[in-house]
Amino acid sequence: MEYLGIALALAGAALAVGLSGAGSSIGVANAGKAAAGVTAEDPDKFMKCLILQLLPATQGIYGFIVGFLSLIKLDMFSGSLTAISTAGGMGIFFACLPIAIGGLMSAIHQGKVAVSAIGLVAKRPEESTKGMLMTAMVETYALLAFLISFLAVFIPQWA
Amino acid sequence: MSIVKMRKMSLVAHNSERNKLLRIFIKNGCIEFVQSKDADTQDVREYADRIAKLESKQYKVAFALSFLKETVKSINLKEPDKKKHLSVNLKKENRLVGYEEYVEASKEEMELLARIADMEQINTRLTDIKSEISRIKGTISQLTVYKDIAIPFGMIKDTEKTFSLLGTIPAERVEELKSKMPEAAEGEFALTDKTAAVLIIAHKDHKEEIMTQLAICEFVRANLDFECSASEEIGRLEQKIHMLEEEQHKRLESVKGYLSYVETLKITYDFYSLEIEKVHAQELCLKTKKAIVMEGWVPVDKEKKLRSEIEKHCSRVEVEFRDPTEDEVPPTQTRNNKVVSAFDGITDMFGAPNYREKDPKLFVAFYYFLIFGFMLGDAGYGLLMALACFIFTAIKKPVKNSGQMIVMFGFCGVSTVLWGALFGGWFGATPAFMDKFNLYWFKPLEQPLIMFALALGVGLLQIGNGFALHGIATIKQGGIKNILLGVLKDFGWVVMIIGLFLFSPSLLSFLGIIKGELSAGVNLCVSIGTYVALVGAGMMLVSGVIGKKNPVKAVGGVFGNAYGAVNVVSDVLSYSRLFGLGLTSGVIGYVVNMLAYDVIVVMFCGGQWFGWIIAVPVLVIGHVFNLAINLLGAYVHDSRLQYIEFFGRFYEGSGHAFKPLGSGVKYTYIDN
Repeated sequence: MEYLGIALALAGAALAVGLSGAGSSIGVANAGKAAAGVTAEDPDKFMKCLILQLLPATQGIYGFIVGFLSLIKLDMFSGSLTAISTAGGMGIFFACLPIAIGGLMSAIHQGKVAVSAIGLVAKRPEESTKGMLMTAMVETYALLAFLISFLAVFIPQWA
Repeated sequence: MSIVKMRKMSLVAHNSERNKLLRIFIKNGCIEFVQSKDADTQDVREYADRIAKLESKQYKVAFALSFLKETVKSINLKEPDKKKHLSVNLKKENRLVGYEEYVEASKEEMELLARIADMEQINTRLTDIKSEISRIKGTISQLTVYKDIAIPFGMIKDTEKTFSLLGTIPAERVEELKSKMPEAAEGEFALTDKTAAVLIIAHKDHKEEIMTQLAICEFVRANLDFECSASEEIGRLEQKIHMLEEEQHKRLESVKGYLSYVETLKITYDFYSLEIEKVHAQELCLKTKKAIVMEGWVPVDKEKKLRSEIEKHCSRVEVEFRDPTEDEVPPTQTRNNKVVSAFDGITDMFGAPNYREKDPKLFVAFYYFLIFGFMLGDAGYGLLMALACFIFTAIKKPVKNSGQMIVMFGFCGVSTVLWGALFGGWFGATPAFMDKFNLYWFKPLEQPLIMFALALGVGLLQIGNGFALHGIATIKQGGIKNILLGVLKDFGWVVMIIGLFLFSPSLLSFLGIIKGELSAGVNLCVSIGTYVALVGAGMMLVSGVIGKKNPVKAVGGVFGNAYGAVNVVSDVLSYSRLFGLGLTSGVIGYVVNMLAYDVIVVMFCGGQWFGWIIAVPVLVIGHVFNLAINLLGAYVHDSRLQYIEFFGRFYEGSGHAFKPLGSGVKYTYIDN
């Protein structure tokens, strides 16, 4: 049971990267389907659609950062395994949850808004920035989740 | 930084001067027409006809442009190995076009329309050829199944005693059919993947029996109308396709000759746009048989020049200018110096300020600049951005306002360099000599709380500024109530925020930036700050009473204001995104470096030189990706902070932007 702490912390990192990445891939995939349709009609709208498609991608990155910081906290990159307490591992596990859950849900829903915004680009390409802004609104909550996860993983001296 | 004062021009002219006047207006590009009072609609039909005529010509030009673009695309597709691809640029021409040039281009109208008719013809022929080729290809694919049957089809005929049949059956039925054929029948089978061609010649006595067997085997009779054998026919058709393709190639080549017309087409297209605008302008005018009344808004600084030009060129005109009255709403034109107007796009996207509102562009420019760098926070990226944008502008020299956005990103790059230097971030790392001499303020990854506090500090600053602007606008409206509201409510917030800022020394020492014991000065700051903030909060709360006589409602107002504070707090917290995005770019940069150096070079390649062969592409791709994704994030989130957190305090953006006659051009920049 010496390494239970590490295992728990790794589970947290796995959830942070995995769930937020899953959310982002769902969001980006949905937006991508719509983008491909619009681009088929008018290839000149490709760039605008691509930008919108990319917006739900950030959650995956936030999750990745939190996961990565957890690994740094666990001193994984030194090559040796330093055990931390079960409570400490639990702490990192819970600290990872906000971006795991928030990232998953917000990316899926941001993807839906991105799909609508791509529809907006199809009809009125000159208004694409407004679509971008609407899509970015959803991201606020992913950012908030990321902040809490980041601070909670990074600031305390987990041991 | 200001909204340009507008003057209303009213003008009465003899009808003969009309066209001359419109030309002067377009050349000067400084008047937006408004509907004259009582402008009747008697001539609606005439105007509609003229517009329809112009639009149909414009439509033809648009066809020619899109035809050329599409055709060039298919030419390029046909010659993929050619190095230099042809291209048709449908973007705006990057030069100023004088009004005379439009008129000059329109003189060649007949010639141009004839060329367009040629293009239409080529287009029709090309479409025909395309459908003909695909039709023939369809026939060929139907015939392929028969190509191993060598008998000319003209010879397959019934005789006195025999009958013959040609057709297809599914390939898997061949054996079945063969076994069931009566001996007196001759069958020839030719197999392809899925279907088999069947030729049967038999005595008429067996006809019924054979027909039944064939029906069981899903026989489909061929319906062919040529005499030669299938392979000959296929050869003939392929020859035809070849000829068609040759013609297609020739036609496509001939299109290349029209590419020199692209610029003329663009100018002519915009000539029609201008003409249509002119007709629309006349619709707004009041007319009699002999005279016409025109009215419109002119920026005050253009008035003199416009008046002198009108007087110079037209004799039978009476023109006068006056200030707008209280109930008129003139269009808005803002004028700022070059640095501030680079950020125009941000405000314009939200909406132009009302004519009587304050122009927020100076503030937007300042905060956009400040926040962008914070969000990207890496001096290396900033340097790349600034260099790329400024070099591009210097080489391309975009005319009019077309390069504004790029210049804006250039400035944002500068801001990023400044913040990045403070954070010690150069492509995700801090150079060793900077570490040695402490050439940075703090590293966000080491002291994230300072960065968090800083982000909220920027938020407080901008929101306080928003309150101050709103307060000034309210006070300017006059009246005791407004003045009280402005002073107590808005400036109450300003005072409160100033009080909070006085806490910053103690906060900094708490976060460990100022080392050692709290000095007396810091403590003094805190106590002064407390009182100032309390006074501000008091002012803000008391303002809820203003204008309410009923004491219950007054208390309600106080509570309402207290509740409103929640919004302000949540808006300030919204600035934590600065912190989040700033960290994101820093951490990803760090990860990329670590992946390239620690993992690839040291771990996998043992620090040998060849490790760098893999590491360098990883570094380049990683940093480009990081820059791209964070650039997008910074652009969008920075805009959001301006629109929601900042504009929400004071700005409506309910005006409509000044659109002078001659601004509706699509492919060119008119010189005015």
